[in-house]
Amino acid sequence: MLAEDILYLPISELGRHLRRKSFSPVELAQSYLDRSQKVGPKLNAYVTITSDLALDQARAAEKEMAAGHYRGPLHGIPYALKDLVAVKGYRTTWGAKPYADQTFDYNATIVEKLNAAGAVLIGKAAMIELAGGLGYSNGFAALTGPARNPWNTECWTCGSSSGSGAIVAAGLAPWAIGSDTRGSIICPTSWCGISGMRPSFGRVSRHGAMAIAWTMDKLGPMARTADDCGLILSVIAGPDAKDHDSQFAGPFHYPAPELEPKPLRIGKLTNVWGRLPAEMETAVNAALATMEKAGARVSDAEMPEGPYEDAAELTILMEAASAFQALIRSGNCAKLDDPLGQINGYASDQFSVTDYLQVQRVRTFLQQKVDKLFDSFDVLATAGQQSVAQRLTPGPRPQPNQQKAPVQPRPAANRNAQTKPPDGVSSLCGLPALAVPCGFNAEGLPMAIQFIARAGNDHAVIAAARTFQGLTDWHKKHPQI
Amino acid sequence: MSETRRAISRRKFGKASLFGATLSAVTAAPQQPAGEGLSAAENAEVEARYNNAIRQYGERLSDEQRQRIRRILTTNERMMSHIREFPLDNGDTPATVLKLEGGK
Repeated sequence: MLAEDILYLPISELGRHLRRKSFSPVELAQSYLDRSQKVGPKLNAYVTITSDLALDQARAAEKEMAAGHYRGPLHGIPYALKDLVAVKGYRTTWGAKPYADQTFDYNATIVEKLNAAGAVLIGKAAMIELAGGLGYSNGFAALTGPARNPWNTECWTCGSSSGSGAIVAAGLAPWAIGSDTRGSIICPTSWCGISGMRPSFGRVSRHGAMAIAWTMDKLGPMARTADDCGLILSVIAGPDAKDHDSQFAGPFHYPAPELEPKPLRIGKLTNVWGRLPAEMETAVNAALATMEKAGARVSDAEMPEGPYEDAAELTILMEAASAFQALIRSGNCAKLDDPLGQINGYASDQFSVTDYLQVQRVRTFLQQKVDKLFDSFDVLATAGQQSVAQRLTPGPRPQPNQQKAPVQPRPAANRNAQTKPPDGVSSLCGLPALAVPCGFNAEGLPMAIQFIARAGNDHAVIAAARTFQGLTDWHKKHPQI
Repeated sequence: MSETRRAISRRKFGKASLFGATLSAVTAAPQQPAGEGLSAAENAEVEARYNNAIRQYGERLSDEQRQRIRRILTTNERMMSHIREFPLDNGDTPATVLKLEGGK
């Protein structure tokens, strides 16, 4: 088995080692498989470990590399895949009992792209049941049990890409695919101390992935660095006629073509989250000060007013009621673990078509308002989450806008943005976001900063996070397993 | 959409929010147990939707689950209330697009 330090290397360095033949793709895959089999169960990180497939793919990569044929940055590099993405012949459980034995006879588009790139699938990552599509109360709402945070196994990883977060943080694979409808990549990325990206809506095909809300679902990378996220995105992005919402005609090139250097304009969001814990506020401010010293221009920014959170939540509830209509109307939702998930669909089934259209009309307006903000800023920055990883408890999960500290009242017109997480806004409007670690609290749990950019400007969030990681080494720290 | 239009709408939204809050406070006062902060009409809508949910799915639900569904419907109505406060004109289109196949 390769040394632990090797298993925590970013993709570009692993690729360099493979090309230099420091170790082979099979040795690399076997090392991650051994570690996954040993550590994975302690973290409830996987639904399925795909050992045979991984070794077959690794042998194929080894043979090609021996012949001097390199397919690109992911060739021979292992990864894990959230268990809502179809892999032909393997269980795809959507993290939920009613689908525990589900299989598909085709590969999702993203899997086809990764196969073509020569990537090596180590396993299907655990997740919150239905990715929280019908609601859930806590981290226990998962087919394979609660995903445990490698930094403190008494804590949760956050969801719904819970296994993907645990796997990358624990060095069971160098990267994973997660999905994000409203925060399901950014939250586990933040709590697990890794680097994760929610691409612009429509950048990555969702064909073959479970749907929650068609107009908000995204697939994206969770990895060691922002640079890794860019490399992965360059492979998995691109138009796909099988995904109705595929939005971009061409491929995503990374690294981006060199542009004339100019200072990065960062807007520090001052009206989201409410009051952050002091050490998190300090960590985010220190991160921005570091970037400012390196030439970035940092100034305050405010999310415009509007019912973003309500619009995001309602869109998810309404679209999920349609996506899971068969489950709801058959009564099989009663087989879900979570008491909320068992009945929430019955309530969502009562929305009217005019309710849906009203929300979508407001959404158009909100999109235009948020977009205007990016005339002044390349990226917006704020904490990755409002808190560090929370302890696993069976009760209701804390809602993002439930503040322990009192919040100063603000004018009614701005009430929606004052204490709300930025996830609703950015998810509703299809904006790319990337979170990276920016420190640790007194208990040794990771804290994160996230960057958000204009829809379609995925390069901006990668550039901002990459700049920060070039100045700091928070992303190089990993938990003692 | 013009800048003027956006600016007017933003101001209108602020006023509408205040008006909505005041109206809700007045009309909802006698109805507090059903849905705090909702108007009488909104409470009636919650009730109608609750009855429909019970008609459709009641046989599957315990008393505790029925109570929870009522609470969920109240929360949903409150969110919809914020959406309905937002000023929209006839020509404001939804974020839903008919994507033409074009021979693909």
